[in-house]
Amino acid sequence: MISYTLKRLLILIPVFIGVGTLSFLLIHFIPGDPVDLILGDQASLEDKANLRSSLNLDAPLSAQYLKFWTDLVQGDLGNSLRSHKPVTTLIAERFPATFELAFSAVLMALLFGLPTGALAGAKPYSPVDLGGLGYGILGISLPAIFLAPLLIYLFSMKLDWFPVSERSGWDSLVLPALSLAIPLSAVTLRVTRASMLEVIGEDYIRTARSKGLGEKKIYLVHALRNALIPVITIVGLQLGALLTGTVITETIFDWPGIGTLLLSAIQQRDYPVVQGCVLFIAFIYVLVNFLTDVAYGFANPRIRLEDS
Amino acid sequence: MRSLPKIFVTAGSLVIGLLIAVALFAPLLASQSPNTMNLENRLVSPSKDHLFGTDENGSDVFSKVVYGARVSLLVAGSVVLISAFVGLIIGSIAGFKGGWIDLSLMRAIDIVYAFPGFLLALSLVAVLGPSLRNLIIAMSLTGWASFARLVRGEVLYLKEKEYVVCSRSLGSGALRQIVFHIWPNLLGLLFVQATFAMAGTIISESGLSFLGLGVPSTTPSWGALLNSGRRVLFDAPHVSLFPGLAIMTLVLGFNLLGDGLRDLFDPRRQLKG
Repeated sequence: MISYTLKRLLILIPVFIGVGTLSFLLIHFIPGDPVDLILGDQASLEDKANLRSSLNLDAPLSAQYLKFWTDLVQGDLGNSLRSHKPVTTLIAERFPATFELAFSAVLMALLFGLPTGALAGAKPYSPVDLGGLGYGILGISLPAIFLAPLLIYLFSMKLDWFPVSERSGWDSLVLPALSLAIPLSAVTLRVTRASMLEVIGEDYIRTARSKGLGEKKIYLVHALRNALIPVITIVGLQLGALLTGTVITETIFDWPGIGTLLLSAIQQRDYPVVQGCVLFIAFIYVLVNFLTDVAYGFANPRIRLEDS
Repeated sequence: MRSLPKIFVTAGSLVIGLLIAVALFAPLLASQSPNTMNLENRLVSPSKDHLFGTDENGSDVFSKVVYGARVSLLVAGSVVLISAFVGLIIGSIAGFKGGWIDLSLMRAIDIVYAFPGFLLALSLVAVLGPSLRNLIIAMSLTGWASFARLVRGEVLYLKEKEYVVCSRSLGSGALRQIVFHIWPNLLGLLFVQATFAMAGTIISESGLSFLGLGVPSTTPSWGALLNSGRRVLFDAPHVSLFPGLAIMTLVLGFNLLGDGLRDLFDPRRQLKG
């Protein structure tokens, strides 16, 4: 288990170097002069020269790259070109909202997807299973850009149950969380079902049955525990994706998270903020995936015991 | 109930075929050019003249939805084709050669796999500017890794099969073994993966276009149409409803096809159902 974790940890190093290099290169990928693009054609030569030196663009590329990493290691992501606040402050202000949204969505998805998926897999082709099958395939086919307006139209414009947008009180959290939770619950349901279906055909379930255990105990203790192992991976990957993929949902609901910070920075050509957001989101994504891998290894005795 | 996978495959193929036909014959189906504006005819509800109503510029929503099928299918088709091809080559080399080649290729795959794909595509398009080409490049950049992973695993397994060992002992070179004996046996799985990748890519493409970071705004796309519909959601929900249903139908088609084919290709699953 330790060497498994270490191996996963070692892969992280090149990933972080790749993510960092990519976010460093972003500004250099801009066709033409980034300074002209940020300030516009009308800007004075002096302003341009100032911006160029404050972005460190006049140094040789290798020196820029080195400074990027030394700053990064010290936790310095530079300052916003518009609000002049440190990028780290901006991110710290916005992350709680994103986290709150992603966390509630995952919680809602698990509360619904796990039990229905397990039930569906335990009784294949029962009414629960067929309903779950339909929900699962519809749920993964619903894009956020359609689901979110649909929810807003129904529950906020027509029924007036929840506010339309902006973060204010718990009731403003319901619709954005739901629009993330529905596709996620569909994925969870499908994976749990498939996993349960596989497990109930295993020898150890037959053994449990033949030694006279009650059905309830067989399903809850023997089947469910093993069926949940692959679900860890999927839910972890999805949580990672949620923490990055909320750009769309946050935009639609005017949610003050990392996604809207990134998008407005892109629109305002505020490159230090874009760079910081990309770095931060990628960092979180990679970290969540790593923790998922470790959790999976921990839950799965085949991996846990492999090297001991 | 055993026939469920077959029903899925049939339904999925029908839906996909229908939407491909819509994309091909868009100029014949659309009642007007998708960018025609008519400011006197803004936000008209669905009627005989405008089947799906009109948007805030008075453009015919039906025509835009019909043309939008082209963008979605073209982008997703190109991205998946490129990703599957690159993944097939890299995965085959890694799995067949083994040793340090496999090890270093697997590390590369792991690294790309760990990248958040949507974020990468979004930031690249933001920097390079929205265009069909940039969008396809940006999305293919991470798309190949999952194909490579799948192919590598299959090649590792298939290269020890008797018929491959047999052809090896008869003197077949690596290329011949891979192309004639291994590839035919993994194409089914690759196709299933490609089907699901189509579904995912269509969702990502429409999301990027929704944010204005996909295809240029002058190209009619479902994502951009949904974005314009957001501003008039209360008065004209039809502007959002129809492109939304279009995306959902196409994605559903690919998911049905993928689900059905996976069950048909995997006899283990069939027996259990």
